[in-house]
Amino acid sequence: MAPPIQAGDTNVGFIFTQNQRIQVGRLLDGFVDGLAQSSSVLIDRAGRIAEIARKPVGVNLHAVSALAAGCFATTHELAAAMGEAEYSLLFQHENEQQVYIWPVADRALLVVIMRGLAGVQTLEDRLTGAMGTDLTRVVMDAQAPVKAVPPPRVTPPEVPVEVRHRTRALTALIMDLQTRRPEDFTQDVQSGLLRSREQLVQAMSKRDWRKAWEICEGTRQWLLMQMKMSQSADVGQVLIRLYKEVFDALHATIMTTAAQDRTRILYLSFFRFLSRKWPKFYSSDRFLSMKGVDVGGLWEAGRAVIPDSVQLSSEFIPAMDALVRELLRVIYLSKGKDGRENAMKDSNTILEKYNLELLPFGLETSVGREWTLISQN
Amino acid sequence: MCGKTTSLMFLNHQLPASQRGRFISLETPTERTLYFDFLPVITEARGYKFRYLLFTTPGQDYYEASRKLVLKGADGIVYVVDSQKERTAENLSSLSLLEKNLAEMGQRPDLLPTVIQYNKRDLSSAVPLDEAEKKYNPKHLLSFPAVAKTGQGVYETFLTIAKMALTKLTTPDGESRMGDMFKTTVITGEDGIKMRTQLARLNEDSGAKGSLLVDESSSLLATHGEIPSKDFETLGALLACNFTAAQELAFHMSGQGFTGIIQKGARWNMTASRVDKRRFLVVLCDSSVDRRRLDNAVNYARGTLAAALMQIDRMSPSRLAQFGSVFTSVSRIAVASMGGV
Repeated sequence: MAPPIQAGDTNVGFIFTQNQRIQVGRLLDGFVDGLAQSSSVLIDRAGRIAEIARKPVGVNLHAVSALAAGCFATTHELAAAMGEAEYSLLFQHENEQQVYIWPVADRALLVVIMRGLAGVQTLEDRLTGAMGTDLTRVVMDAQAPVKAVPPPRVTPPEVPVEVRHRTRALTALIMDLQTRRPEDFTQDVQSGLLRSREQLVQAMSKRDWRKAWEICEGTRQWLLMQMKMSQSADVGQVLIRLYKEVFDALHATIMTTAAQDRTRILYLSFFRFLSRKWPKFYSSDRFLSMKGVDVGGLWEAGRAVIPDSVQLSSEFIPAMDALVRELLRVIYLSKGKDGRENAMKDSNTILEKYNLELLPFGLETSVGREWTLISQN
Repeated sequence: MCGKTTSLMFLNHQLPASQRGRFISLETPTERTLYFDFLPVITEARGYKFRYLLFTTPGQDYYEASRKLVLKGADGIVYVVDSQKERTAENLSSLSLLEKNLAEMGQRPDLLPTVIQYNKRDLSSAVPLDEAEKKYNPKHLLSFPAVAKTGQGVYETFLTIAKMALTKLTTPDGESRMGDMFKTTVITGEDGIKMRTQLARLNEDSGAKGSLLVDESSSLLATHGEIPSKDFETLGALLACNFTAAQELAFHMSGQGFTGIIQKGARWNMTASRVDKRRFLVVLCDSSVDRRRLDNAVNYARGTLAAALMQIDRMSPSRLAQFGSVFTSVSRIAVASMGGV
């Protein structure tokens, strides 16, 4: 038996022996026998030419083959989407030129070029007849090139949640600042960001999570400094404004039903309850008075213990949410289910307003039935 | 093998199912991109739904003709660089090829939002970042170091290009200076009803089961009748890429366009024909449909749809201007609200 040779182009998805090649050549000739201005090309599914019969003049067959394979690959997917096993393709050109693409044994495509519609039926008869079966068999029998099994392409590491939050918060901050203050993103700032991104990628590639965390925090502070933004323009300031609006609205609702003395007692009871669980914030009852809630005071009390505002915010949010729940409970007792629903609706409107401001810090508000409304991304 | 497909695979892997469609990879048996990989990403913000259709292009020179088709109508480009020193020549060659391909399509690269992703930064043979910037980024485009297989830098790159593409819509001269292919079609609910009515008439006149009006930039503009797949993002992309490849093939053969594509299946036959420069009509029917009746109905529908689309195109700039401020305000939230990574 003759040694296998690779016909036509290199890297074809199958290898014919000399005998198979002769047989294929004969079959390709047979398909277009008697058809006007015709030629036929056998290509693999990657668009590489295996055999040609009656090469057309002035046509870049490599480009045509690559396009035919691409076109057929989409056709194959379309067929799957439409619940079909496979489609065959026929193109009609302005000058009556026809291109017919026929799948051969899951490995190859037969591209036939001819003039006029008259030959289509003849060609289809040949393809579905004995000649088509013979071609399918030869292609199926052809030897496959050795293929190494590549390793899986995507292997995302298990990034610790703190690092994930921090990287996402940094990305959101950069995106936000780029939109709001594009003029401040000078060439120097861009270069600095690129360098720190590179350091971050290197640290994460080595799974040095601590270093990654430090790079994120360092970059955040550096960026805010570059933008000439004071550190006070941080997450705390946004949270203080947000909760102040929420508490003011809830307080106003409570004040419509409860007398001042009663309100004072209520807040005192809230303080006793909350100070047990969150002593960092509810360190003094002066933050909860019949005038309402001093959110700024609560934040500063916590800041004395945890100076980092991002870290502080992760504890501040549940502490404030607990107070919101207490206030809603009182509204439910005094104004019923409808009163509570209305109060929640007002609070949700406030939350939606702050969503955009919270995103740069990796926080997101979600309007739901329960009061767990600010979540870390 | 610089990591384009892997980057897309990472996004597919990490985004929650509600925020992405079906990932399609058309690759050769040796895992080289044959035509494109495709991933639709969907976000919703402030009542607006944003669909980002992400495609990769084939990297090998052999598939240059197919690559040009994928670039056609792109709203933004991520140029992925293999950071390894030994890949420098290939990187520079494909960068100049990209510029050549864009120029051939009448596209101005300086107007197209573009970012660079330096991939494989974890390899010891990676060139230093400063050197890479000098080599590949003379225009000082935004650039991101990345390791696609573990996903570092991929999401950030995607967010940035998504935002840039969305913001481009709001730049008044940014869009108008681009060719017809890059213009945005703004379709109102009323337009939609009008086009569906015309498709309904086409189905009735021809005896077809269903019909679709598709934009070459992969959007399904209108559908009517029985469409076997409900995954419209994927269907739109596949039909558009199929159509443009067939058209390009026709041009390579004879320097002319085609009158129609017929795809024959066991149950359905699918025919596609051009409506205007950017849109085409797809009709689904079984083999019992009379060919002459179908051709007549399709020809009539092509005329009426072309007229309707011409009117929509005329109205689109002013409609887009009205949306301008809305897009600006939601562009931040839309890209930042994609959770899960």
